[in-house]
Amino acid sequence: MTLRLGHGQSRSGRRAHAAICSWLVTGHRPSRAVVLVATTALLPVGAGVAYGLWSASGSGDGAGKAQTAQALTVTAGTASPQLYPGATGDAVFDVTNPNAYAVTVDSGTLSSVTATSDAGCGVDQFSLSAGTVASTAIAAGASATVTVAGALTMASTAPDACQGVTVTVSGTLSGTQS
Amino acid sequence: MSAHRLRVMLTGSVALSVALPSAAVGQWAASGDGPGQGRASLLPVPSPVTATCASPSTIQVDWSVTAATPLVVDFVVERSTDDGASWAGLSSVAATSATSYSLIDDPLASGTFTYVYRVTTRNNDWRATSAVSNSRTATVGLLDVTDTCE
Repeated sequence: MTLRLGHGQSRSGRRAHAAICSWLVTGHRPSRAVVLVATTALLPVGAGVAYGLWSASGSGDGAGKAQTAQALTVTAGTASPQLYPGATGDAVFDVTNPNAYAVTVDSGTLSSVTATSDAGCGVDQFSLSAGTVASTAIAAGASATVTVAGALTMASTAPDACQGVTVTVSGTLSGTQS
Repeated sequence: MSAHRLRVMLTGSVALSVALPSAAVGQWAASGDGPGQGRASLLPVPSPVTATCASPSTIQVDWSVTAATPLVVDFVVERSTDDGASWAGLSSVAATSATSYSLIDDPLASGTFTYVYRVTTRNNDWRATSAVSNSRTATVGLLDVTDTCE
């Protein structure tokens, strides 16, 4: 078992820490002085735990240092040409994580097809399905491409004007700290 | 405080210090709304399309695509005897896993004509038409011995 204490712990604190750990494991009780030092040394650890909880929830009384989760910035990515009459392809997003922690995007919902690059190829030529979000880790302050595989299908009756078009979809991508 | 109670208290503190941060990590979440992109393919254009004399009275048309793809359903071959002003369909050829195809134009029209060809890839309503091939001039008569192609 390892009990980690914070930086700046005194030498006596570290010794007490070792003695307490030994006691917890072996049952060999240390002196009262050692117990007192070790108990004091635990206080910063407890405070650290409490701070972490406030930060995680982003709320709480007096949590002046608490962080608030920032929304991911989602823009259109660059898809490879996969769609043709009757075929299914991917929807691609570029996602920026403005938070101070890494996020792994692993879920999403596509709501609609909003536009195509050719007026002769209407949005009604495409249908959406849930697809599969490729789990993608995005470092703090960084960007990455997130692909929702198999989310778009082109109608088998799509007109010739649909060749080579780009299709814009709207969606919501979600993730958790990683 | 008895030694036993103190030991229990410290053990609990250690357990909390390990478990609570882990639980807190799972509560961080982030999401965002915005546009995504899909992209449609382009039918491959047959290239090159060439015409060669297969016999004094037949012309072979050859064409290829860069890669076999399920995108192409079939190829339509057309010929023109007025230098591309008008076109007449010859035949359709189903696409396979091959990248090279050919078709024999037989029979040619009676008389002397200069032939050019073009090939169109198709998938339902999609089309992609090649450039016009090189030309061949053939003379076909009632007697085979007088037929020529060059």
